[in-house]
Amino acid sequence: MIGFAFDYTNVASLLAFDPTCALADELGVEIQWLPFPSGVRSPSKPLGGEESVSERHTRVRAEYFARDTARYAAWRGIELNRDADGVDSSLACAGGLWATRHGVARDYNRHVLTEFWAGRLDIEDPEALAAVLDRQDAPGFESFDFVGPLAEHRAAVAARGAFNVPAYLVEDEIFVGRAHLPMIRWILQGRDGPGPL
Amino acid sequence: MHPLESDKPLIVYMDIKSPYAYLAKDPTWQLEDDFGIAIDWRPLTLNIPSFLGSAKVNETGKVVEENRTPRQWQGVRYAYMDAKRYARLKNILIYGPRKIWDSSLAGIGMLWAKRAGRDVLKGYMDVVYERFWRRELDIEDEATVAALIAESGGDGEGFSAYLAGEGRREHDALQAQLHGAGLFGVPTYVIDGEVFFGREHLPGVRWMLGGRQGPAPDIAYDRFEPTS
Repeated sequence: MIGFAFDYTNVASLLAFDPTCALADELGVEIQWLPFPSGVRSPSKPLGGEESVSERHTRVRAEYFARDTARYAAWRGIELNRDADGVDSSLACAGGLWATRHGVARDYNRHVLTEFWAGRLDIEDPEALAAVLDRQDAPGFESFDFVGPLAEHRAAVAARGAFNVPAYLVEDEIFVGRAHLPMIRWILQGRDGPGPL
Repeated sequence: MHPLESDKPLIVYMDIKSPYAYLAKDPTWQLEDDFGIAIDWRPLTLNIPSFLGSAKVNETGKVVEENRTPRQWQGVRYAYMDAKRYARLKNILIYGPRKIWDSSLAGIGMLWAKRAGRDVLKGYMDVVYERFWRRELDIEDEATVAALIAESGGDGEGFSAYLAGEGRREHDALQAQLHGAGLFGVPTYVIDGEVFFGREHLPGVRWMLGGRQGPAPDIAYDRFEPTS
């Protein structure tokens, strides 16, 4: 079992999705889907006055990660047509719980991640998400009173150590980022041979 | 020295006080053998308090001074846990430092060792990383760094003059340009002007060094068998 904590508004989660599915399929293990609303990100504001070293570091780092994400998305042919500033993923995460209950989590998660980042899906629109779930044979999302279940779910995932996404919860260990997939493969294959670097 | 330009095909930025740089050291040296290249190794002296706050612990590991948010603590604790689990696989010892060190002197030592050639630099880096992470090294002590350079086959006696003059100037001038060039952490790889932060990019760096044959790889902490 691979616990996969992710957020629809986190672009690294989008990039992690296919490699995670590929590894699970290769090993014949299940993915435990753990949508994890990581909070609404404020739009980046131009800094006023002189930048401190700390502010400059934060900006340079953020600019790097934006370029890095775009680079790997381009290398893999993944559409990135928007940012996630100011977008609340709670509703989409609730949809993820609903999809899991109906056994369509992988299809729902792929669709919502892909279409959101391509700029074709408004994940704050309950009707749009209900339509996605309807098409995937998971009707009734409109009537899902998700606030309590989503809060409980989020707290349970956080209690397992998730603090950032995408994160993998495997055999009581947490791994942040898809770069750990070779380590996860090695662990799930019984830790045979030299481990990854 | 331009931060993104070199007469070598690959620039690698390192800092002794990063456990992730330590984990990257050997697989990065491996690139020289696998691709028949020379790497331009450079220091990037991290200003850790500017992005992770600061803290000091005593000999029992108790925090005696700190200026970190809960989020920063979470990030720091995860980073050390993560680095240590990979280090264990390679029989590398990583003991968390008890304070945030000024590693500029060790970085200048790296520049000085580099002038003496590959073997001296490699020997210096091997011994500095290993002993620092075993808490056996005071990297803020000039005589200690000079002795390590000498032990690695370099000119330990000449280090003091270099440190007092050109070395410090060269180091500080480079550091002042790094943020402007988009560089902020270690290990960082610069190839064809592109910047890659973290050893998870070694597959991509290898792909570029190998002429971009086949589909581009994804990021991964993956192992590569030596090709030579």
